[in-house]
Amino acid sequence: METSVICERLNIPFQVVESPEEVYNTVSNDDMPVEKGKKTLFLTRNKGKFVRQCPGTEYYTCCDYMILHIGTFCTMDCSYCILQSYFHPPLLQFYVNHQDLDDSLDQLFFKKKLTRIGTGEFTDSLIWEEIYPFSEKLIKKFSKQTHAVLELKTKTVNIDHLLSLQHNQKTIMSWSLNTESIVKTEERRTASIQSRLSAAAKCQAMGYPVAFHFDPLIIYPGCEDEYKKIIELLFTYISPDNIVWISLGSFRFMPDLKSIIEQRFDQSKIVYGEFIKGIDGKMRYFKPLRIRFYKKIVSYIREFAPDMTVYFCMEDDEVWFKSLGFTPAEYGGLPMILDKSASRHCDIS
Amino acid sequence: MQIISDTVSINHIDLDDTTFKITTDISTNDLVESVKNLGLIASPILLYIAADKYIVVSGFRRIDACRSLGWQHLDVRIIIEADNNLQPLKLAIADNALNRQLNVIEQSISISKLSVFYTDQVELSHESQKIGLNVNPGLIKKLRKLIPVHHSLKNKIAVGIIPFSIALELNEMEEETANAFSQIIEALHPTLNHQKEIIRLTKEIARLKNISILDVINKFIVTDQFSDPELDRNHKIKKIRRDLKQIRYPEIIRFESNFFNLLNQIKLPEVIHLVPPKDFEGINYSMQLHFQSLKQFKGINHVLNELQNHPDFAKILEKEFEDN
Repeated sequence: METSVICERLNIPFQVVESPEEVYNTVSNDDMPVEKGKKTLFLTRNKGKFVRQCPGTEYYTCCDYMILHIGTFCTMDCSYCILQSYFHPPLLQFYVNHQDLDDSLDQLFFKKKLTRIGTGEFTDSLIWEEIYPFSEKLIKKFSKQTHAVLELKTKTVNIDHLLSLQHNQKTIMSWSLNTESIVKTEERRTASIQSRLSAAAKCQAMGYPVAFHFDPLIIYPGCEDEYKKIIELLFTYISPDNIVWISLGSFRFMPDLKSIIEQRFDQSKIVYGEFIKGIDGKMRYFKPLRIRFYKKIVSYIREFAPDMTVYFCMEDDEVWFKSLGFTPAEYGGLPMILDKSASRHCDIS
Repeated sequence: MQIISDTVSINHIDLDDTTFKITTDISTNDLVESVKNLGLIASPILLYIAADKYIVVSGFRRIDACRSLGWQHLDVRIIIEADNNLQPLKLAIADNALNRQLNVIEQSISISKLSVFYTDQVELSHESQKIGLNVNPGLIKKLRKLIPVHHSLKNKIAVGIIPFSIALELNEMEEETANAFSQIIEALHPTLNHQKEIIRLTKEIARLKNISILDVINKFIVTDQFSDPELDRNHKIKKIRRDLKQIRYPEIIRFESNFFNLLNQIKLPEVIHLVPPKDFEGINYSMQLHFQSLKQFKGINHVLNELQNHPDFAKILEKEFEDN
C-alpha cells in the first residue's frame, strides 16, 4: 500500500525491478554514483533490523543510541556527509514494509527499557514527509508509551503538519546546526539556520522537547566567532529549559570520503584541516585543536545555559575532561546522562 | 581479412600515417645494428591502401632502420583486404604486446584506438586480453585519463621516470605545473610515497592559501637549496617534506616541536626512550629501557624515580605544552 501511495504522490516514471542488484548496479556503475544515488529512489523492504544499535567504535565514548532504520541517504547534499561513502552504493531507499517496522517498535516498547531512538542517522528524519507522512505515525505511536523517546533529526523545516499532533513529549524534534558560512558553502539544499530555528521555535511552542546537534563542528579562520553567533541566535529562539541535549562533534570522516568531497565540492576546503588518523581509523582534527575548540563552544553555550546537557559524540575521556571538566563515568556513563535528561524532558521512566 | 607476403618498394610505404602506431620508442640504433648483422628477422605488416601505397600496421622502427641502411625493398606481409581497421589494429597491438611489455603510454594509446570499436569497458577489457593487452575495466578507466597526455610528460611516463599513479595526477594539472613537478621528480628521484606526499601537500597548501600550485612550488620547493650542488638529494627531499608539512600542518608541527623541546629539558639518558601516543590522539605513553646489567638497570631506576617528580615530565604526560 505504501508503495502505491508514494508512486501516486510522486507522479514520476517508475520501474519495477526483479532484484535490488539491478538498482545497485545502475548507481554503482554511474560515473557519478553519489549524484545518481540522490536522484534514484528505491522503494523496497527492509530485510534487516528496523531497530538497531548506532555503530559506535570501541575507543571513543558512544551514547548507546538506537537507530530506527526507515531509509537511507538524503536529498539534501552536504559536502561532509559520511553517507556518501558509507553506503555501497549511496542510494535513496525508503523501506515500505511498515508493518514489520511497527512490530519491531512494539517489541521494543514491550521491553519497557528506557531507549533513545532516532531516524536521523542513515538519512534525514524529515525529508520523506513530502512523499509519505511517516513521522506523523511514529509520533502518534511513541506518544502512547512511556519508555522510549523518538528523536527526529533534520536540516529541513518540514514540521508544520506535525505541530498539532498529540506527542506527549515522547518525540524530540532536533536540528543540526552550523555556522552561516558552512551552511552556505557546504550544505546544499538545506534550510537556512534562521528557518531551522524558527521551525524549532514552533515545535517548542507546541510543547515538543527540542535538541540541537553541532555536528560536524568545522574549524576554519573566524569559526569561533561564527559559532558564537549561532549559539546566541539559538538562545534567542529557544529556551534552554526546553532543550533536551546539545551534542558536539568535530568533523571526522573515513579517509575515502576525502576524494569524494574533493571531486564533488571543488570549492570546499573542509578536508584540508589539520587532521590525523584517529584510533577508529577516521580522520579527526588533531586532538589539542579539538579540545581548544570544544572548550570555546562549551563556554559559549554555558553563558546562556549553565546546566544544559552538553555531550560529545565519539570523543574519549581526555577530551571530555579537558573540555567539560568531567568524564561521563563520573555520572554513570554517557547513556545514563542522556537517559536522565530524556526522563526529565520527555516524562519517560 | 586477407594477408599475403610480398616484396615492396620502401618508398611506397607511408611512415607518416600513424593510424596503427602503438610504439612510443622512436630510436632505431639497436635495430639498425641487428638488421645489419642478421637481416630482417620478422617482416613488418602493411595495409594496402591503393596501388603503390601502403601504411604501416606494425614495424615502424624496423622499416625506419632498413631505410636508414639504404634498403630499397622490403619483404613484408600485406593486408590486402579488411572490412575495417579493427583487425589490422588488433594485429598491430598483438604484434607488440605479445613480444614485450607495453609501457603505460602505449597501453593508453592502444586503449584509445580500440575504444573506437568497443564502447563497453568490460567487452573492451575482454577483447584486449585476447591480443595480449592485460587490462581490466578499472585499469582501462585510468588509462583513458592519459588520453591526451601532456606532451612534455609523455616520454618521461613512457620510460618510467614518472610512475603511472603520479602521471595520472600530473596529467590533470596545467602542463606548466605538471612539468615543474616532473622536473622535481627527475632531479631528486623521491620514492613513490614521497612523490605522492609532496604533490598532495603542495596541492593542499595551494587550496588553503588560494594561490596556484606553481606558486607553491616556486616559493617553497624550488628554493636556493633545491639547486645547491653541495646538498645531496636525500637531504633536499627531507627539507622539502619538512617545509611543506610545516606550512600545511602548523599547529601539529608546533605541538610536536614543543613536545620535543620539553623532552630535551628533562634530559633523559639515551637508554630511556619515551614514546608519546601516535599523533597525540590516544593517552598511552610508552617507554623503552635499554640495559645490559643490574648496575645499568639500577641507574635507569634512579632516573625514573627522579622523573616522577619532574614538573616537565608531568606536563608531557598531561600534554600541557601548547604554549611553551
